[in-house]
Amino acid sequence: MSEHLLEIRHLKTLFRMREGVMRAVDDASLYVDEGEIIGIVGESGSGKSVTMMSVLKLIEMPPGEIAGGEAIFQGENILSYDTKSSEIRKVRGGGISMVFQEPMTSLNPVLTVGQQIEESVMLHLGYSRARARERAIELLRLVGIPDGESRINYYPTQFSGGMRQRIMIAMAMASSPKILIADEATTALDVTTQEQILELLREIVKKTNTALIIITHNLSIVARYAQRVYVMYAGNIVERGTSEEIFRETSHPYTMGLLKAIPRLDSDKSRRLVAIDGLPPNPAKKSGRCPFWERCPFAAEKCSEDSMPPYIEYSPAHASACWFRPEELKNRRPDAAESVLTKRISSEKILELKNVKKYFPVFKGVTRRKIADVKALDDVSFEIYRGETLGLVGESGCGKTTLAKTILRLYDVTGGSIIFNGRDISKLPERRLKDVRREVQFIFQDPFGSLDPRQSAGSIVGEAIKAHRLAKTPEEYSRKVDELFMAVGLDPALKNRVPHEFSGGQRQRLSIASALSSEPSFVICDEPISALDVSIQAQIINLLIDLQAKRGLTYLFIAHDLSVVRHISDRIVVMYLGRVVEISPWNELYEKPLHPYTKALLSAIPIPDPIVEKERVRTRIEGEVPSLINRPDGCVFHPRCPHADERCRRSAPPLSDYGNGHQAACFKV
Amino acid sequence: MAKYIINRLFQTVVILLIISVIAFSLIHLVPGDPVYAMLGSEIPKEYHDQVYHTMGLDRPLVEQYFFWLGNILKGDLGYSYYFRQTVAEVVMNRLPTTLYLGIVSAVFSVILGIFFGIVTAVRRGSKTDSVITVLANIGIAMPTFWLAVILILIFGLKLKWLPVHGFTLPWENPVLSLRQTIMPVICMSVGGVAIYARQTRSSMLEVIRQDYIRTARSKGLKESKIIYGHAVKNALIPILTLIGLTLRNSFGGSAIIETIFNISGLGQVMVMSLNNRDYTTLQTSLLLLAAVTCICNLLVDIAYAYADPRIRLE
Amino acid sequence: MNDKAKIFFRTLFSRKLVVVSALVILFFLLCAVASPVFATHDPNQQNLAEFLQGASSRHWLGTDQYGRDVYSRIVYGTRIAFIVGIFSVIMSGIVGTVFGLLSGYFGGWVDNVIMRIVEAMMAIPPLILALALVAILGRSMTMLTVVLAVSNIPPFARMMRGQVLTVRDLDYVSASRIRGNRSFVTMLRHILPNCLSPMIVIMTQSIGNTILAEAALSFLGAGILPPTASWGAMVNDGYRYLTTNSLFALAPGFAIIILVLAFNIFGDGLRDALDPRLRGAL
Repeated sequence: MSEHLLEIRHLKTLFRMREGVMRAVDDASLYVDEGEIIGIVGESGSGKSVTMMSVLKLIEMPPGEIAGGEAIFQGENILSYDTKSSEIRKVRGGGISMVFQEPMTSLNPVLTVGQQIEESVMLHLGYSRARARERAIELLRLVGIPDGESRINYYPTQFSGGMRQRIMIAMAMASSPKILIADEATTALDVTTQEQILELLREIVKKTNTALIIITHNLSIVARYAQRVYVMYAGNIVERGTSEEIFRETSHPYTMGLLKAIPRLDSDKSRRLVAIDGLPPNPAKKSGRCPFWERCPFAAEKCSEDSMPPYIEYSPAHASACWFRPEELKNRRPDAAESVLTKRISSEKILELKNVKKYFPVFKGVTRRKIADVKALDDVSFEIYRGETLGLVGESGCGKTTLAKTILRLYDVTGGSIIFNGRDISKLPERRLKDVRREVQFIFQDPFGSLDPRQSAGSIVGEAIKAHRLAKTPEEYSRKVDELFMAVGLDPALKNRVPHEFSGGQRQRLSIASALSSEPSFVICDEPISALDVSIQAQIINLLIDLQAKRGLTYLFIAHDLSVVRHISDRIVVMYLGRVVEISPWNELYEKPLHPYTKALLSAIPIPDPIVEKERVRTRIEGEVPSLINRPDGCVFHPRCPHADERCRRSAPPLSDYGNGHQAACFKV
Repeated sequence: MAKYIINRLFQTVVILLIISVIAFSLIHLVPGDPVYAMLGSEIPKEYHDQVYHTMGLDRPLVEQYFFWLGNILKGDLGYSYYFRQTVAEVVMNRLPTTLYLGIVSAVFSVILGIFFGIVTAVRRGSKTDSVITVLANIGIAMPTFWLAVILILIFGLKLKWLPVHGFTLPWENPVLSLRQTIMPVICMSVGGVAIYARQTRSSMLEVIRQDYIRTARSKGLKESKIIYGHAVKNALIPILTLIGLTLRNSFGGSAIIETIFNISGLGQVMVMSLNNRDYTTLQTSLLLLAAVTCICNLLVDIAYAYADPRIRLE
Repeated sequence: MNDKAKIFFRTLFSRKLVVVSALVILFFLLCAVASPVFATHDPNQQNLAEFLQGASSRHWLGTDQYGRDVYSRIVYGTRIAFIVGIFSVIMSGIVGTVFGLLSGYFGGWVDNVIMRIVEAMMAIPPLILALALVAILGRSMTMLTVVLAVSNIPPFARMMRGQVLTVRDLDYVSASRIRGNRSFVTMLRHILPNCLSPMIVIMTQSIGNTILAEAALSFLGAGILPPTASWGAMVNDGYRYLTTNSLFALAPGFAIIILVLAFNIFGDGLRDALDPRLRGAL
C-alpha cells in the first residue's frame, strides 16, 4: 500500500540492444499526490520519458524489459500487470493519461478528431456514441476550442500545432484520469503557444484535481509550474525536492551545472556560462558508480568507487545522490573564474538591409497562374556593425530563416537592397557572388542534416578552402584544416571520420569549423544550439563568443529563445510575420520592452527560479501565430494585440526611434 | 480536391499522347519497308503501293501521325492483313476476355495479398509470418509460365480435373467458365498476391511505429482495435497506388497465359501479331492496353486522394 | 576498411539467409564462367538416338527432343541469365540515374518532360513493350539486353528523382553552395553519392525480375536464337513433352526460381544494411 496516488519504487528498465544492455532507468523512485504538479527534468537519454512509459508498459518489449521495482497506483502494483492485459489497459487512458511531444504526428491523420476523442470516452466511461459526442464537444470547449459542434468533424490536418496539442489534451482528459503526464508536450511549439498550453494544463488539473507530471528538458518550465521536481541523469534520479529547494538550495553538482549552463532573462550579461564538459555516459557501458563523476568538476577519489552515492536527505522532500553536501562542495573547488570578454565594435556598417522584401508566389490551377504572394519578408530594414552580434528573435513564420537565406542569396530578392561592405549584393548574379560567399558564412541549426554523411570530417571542413583556392600547396591545405579543428576544440586526428561518428555537439563544432574555413568576416548563425542538449548548448555558446573575440567576427544570431539571444547579442531585432517590430540594445529589451509582442514574448519565457517567477507580472496574449497566407492587414500583430484599435487594423505602423537606438513599430508606445 | 482531379486529368491526357507517339513510332523502327516487312517481299508492286497509301506512309511523318491519331479517334483502327479483319473487330472481340481475366486476378491479388500482409505484420516473427513470407518470396521469383506448366501437368494431364485450354465468359456458361478460369487466374495472381502481401506487411510495420499508434495505445485501446481501427486504414493508403501497377502487369502476363492456355484474348493477339509481323494490330493493342492502364491509374489516384484526408482537404 | 564499411558488412551478413543467397549467386556465377567444368556434355550436341530420355546416371536430368543433355544445357543457360540480367540492369541503372538526377535537380520543364515520358512508358506492360521491340528490332543477345534495359529505365529514373528531391533540400546541399561550390560540383559531389545506395538496392532487386523477363521472352519465342541454351526456351520446348520427360520442362524452372530468389533476398539484405531505418521492415 502507499499513501500516495502513484508511487514508483526502485524502477529498473533495460533495453537489450545489439550494442549491449542499456540501463535506461536505473533504480528510480518517485511519487505524486492527488492534484499535485511535479516535474521530471533531464536531457535526452536521461530516462525521464522511459520512466513513465515503463509504468504504463508502453515501452517496446522486447528489446525493453522492466527488470525490477514496483509502481503502486490506487493500491495496486500496476507493473505486475501483463502488457496486453485488460487491467493495464484500464489504467492507460483511464487512470493515467499521456500527452506527447509531436502534435503533428500524434493524432491519427485518417480519423476525425471527434472519432478519436469519442473512442476514449466510450472505452473508459462506457458512454453511448451520442453521449460520447456531447462529452467530446464539452471537452473541446474545456481546452479552449470554440465551435466544437462543427470542429468535431474536422481531421487533424485542419488544425495548427497548438490546436492539435489542445485536442491531445482533450483526448487525455476524456476519461477523467487521476494523473495526466505531459511528455515534452510543449517542446515543439512556439514560445507564446507553449505558454498558453501550459497555462491550460495548469487550469484544467486545478479544476479537476488531476495530478500533472511534466516531463521536460526545460528547467525554466519546471520552475514556473511544478511544485516538486525530480532531476534525472543517465537513468538515475540525482536530485529531488520542492521547486524552491531545487533552484535555491541546489545540492547536486549536475543540477548546479545545468543552472549555470543556461542563460537567464534576468541575469547579468558579463556572466560567462559554465559549460559541463564532456558527454553523458554511454548507457550500454554504465557502471555502478555515480554516473556524473567523469564530468563533475568536484569529483573526488570516492566518486570513482564502484557504488552509487546514497541519497543525502536535506528535508522531507529534498535529497541528492552525491557523496558530498553543497557546503563541502564549495570548499572543494571555487567557481571557475569568469572571464570578461573583450570585443571591438566599430561604427562601420558591415551589412545594411534597406526595405528588403521576399515574396513567394502562390500558383493555382493547371496553367499555374500566379494568384497571390506569400510575403515572407516585408520591408525589413536594419544594419549590423562590424564586430557586433545582432540577435534576431521571433516565432515560426516570422521570416528569420528566410531572411538568412535571402542575405546569403540562396533566394532571389524580391525588392530592396542588401548592402554588404558598401556594395549592393541583392541583384548580383550567382557567378559574381564568389567573394561574397567567401566573406559571409552560415551555421545551420541541425548538426545532423548540415553535414554530408558521405564526406569525411576533414573534407567537409576543407571544402571552402578548395572552392576558394585559399591554400597553395597540399601541405598548406592540411595545416589549415588542422588549425580549424583545433580552433573549434576538435582533435585533428578525427579528420578521417565521417559525421555520424561524432556526437551532436561535436558535429556542431565541425559545422562551425567548416563555416570558418573561408576566413569570413560575417557569420549568420541560424538557431545553432536549439537541437542540442542543455549541457552542450553552453559549450557551443562559449565557443562562438571566444571565436568572435579571437577572429573579430560579426554575427547575426538567429534564435527563438530570447534568453539565449539576450545573452550573446549586443543588439536585438524582434520579428513577427515578416516584419521587424522592435530593435533594441540588449540591456533595454528586458528592462523596458516597447512593442506588445515583445512584452508577450518576454513574459512567455520562464526564468529558472520559482521565487522570481512568482513575482513576475506577465502579459498574456491570445491566439497563435497566423499562417503567412492569411496575413492580417494593417499592423500584422493586431488580431492578437490587447491594445489594438481601428488605426492598427487599417495601417501598418512604421519603425520609430525612441532614443539610444531603440526602435519599435507600434502606434501605442 | 477538384483542382487535384483536374490536374491529374490533364496529366493523363498528356501521358496518353506520349503513349500514342511511342506506339506510332514502333512501325517506323522496323528496318526497311514496313509494308514489305508485313506482307512479305513477294507481293506485287501495285498492291504494295496501295497498302502504302492506305496506311498513309507516303505522307510526311508529322502528318502521318495526326492522320493515324485522327483515324483512331474516329474509331478507324486500320486493317489487319494477318487476321483479314479490321483491327477494331480483332481487338474488340478479344478485349472483354483479357479485361475479365485481368480484373478478376487483380481483385484476387488485392484481397488475398492484403489479408496475408496484415496477418504477417500482426504476427510478426511467428511461424505463420515466416511461412507466408517464404511463400511470398517464392511467388515473386517464380516464372508465371512455369507455374502454368506445373498446374497443367498436375491438374490437367495427371488428375484430369480441369481443362487445359479455352475460355468462356461466365454469362455464357458459368460452370465451364469457372473450370476454365481457375488455372489462368491462379497463375496471373500469384505474383500479385505475393507483392501485395510484402508491401502491406512493410506498410503496416511502418505505421505501427508511428506516434499516433503510441497515442492509441496510451488511451488503453485493445490491440485489435489499434490494428484494425487505427493502423490498417493508414497502411492501406499507399497500397492503393499499387493497383494500377498490378493491372498493368496482369495485362502483360496475359500474353503468356493466353498463349499457354490457348485463350483468345488481346495478349494472344499480340503474340500472334508479333510472330506474323502484323504491326498495325500490335500498335493498336499496345495503345489500347496502355490507355486502359492509364485510366485505371487515374481512378486509383482519385481514390487515393479521397482516402487520404490530407490530400482531400487541400 | 573504415568503420562504416565494417558495420555495413556485419549487418549485411548478420542474417543467415543473406549469406546463403550470396553463396547461391556466387555458385551460379561460377557455373556461368566455368560452364565446361560443370557440364557433363556438350550442350548443343544432338543425339537423336537418345531423345527425350528420363533421368539416368548418364543424363542426370534426361535429354531433350534432340537428345541434348538437359543438365548441361541448364549449366550453359546460366550464362544468358547472368549476361542479360546484369548488363541490362547496369545499362538501365546508368540511364535511369542520369535522367532522374537531371529531372530532380533542375526541376521545371526538364522534370515535366522526363517524368511524363517515364509515366507513359510505365503504363505499357513491360513484357509487351519488350516483345514488341524484339519483334521489330530482331533477336540477338545485344538487342535482348537493350530491350530489357529500356523497360527498367522508367522505375529507376523515378526512384532516382525521388531521392534527388529529398536530398536536394537537405542542409548540406545548401551548405555546399554557401561554401562557394558551383552547382555542378554540388550535384556530383553531394547529391549524387547520397542518392546511390537506394539505387544499388533497387538495381540488385531488379536483376531477378530481369532474369524472369528474359525467361518469359524466351518462352514466347522472342529470346535468344536457338540453339543457344536459355532457361525460358527450355521450358517452352519441354512443355510439349510434359508427359514424356517432365524434368525437361521443370528443371530449368527450378534454376530460375533459385537464382531469382537469391538475387531478391540479397537485395533485401542490401537494403537493410544500407538503410538502417528500414531494417527488419520486410
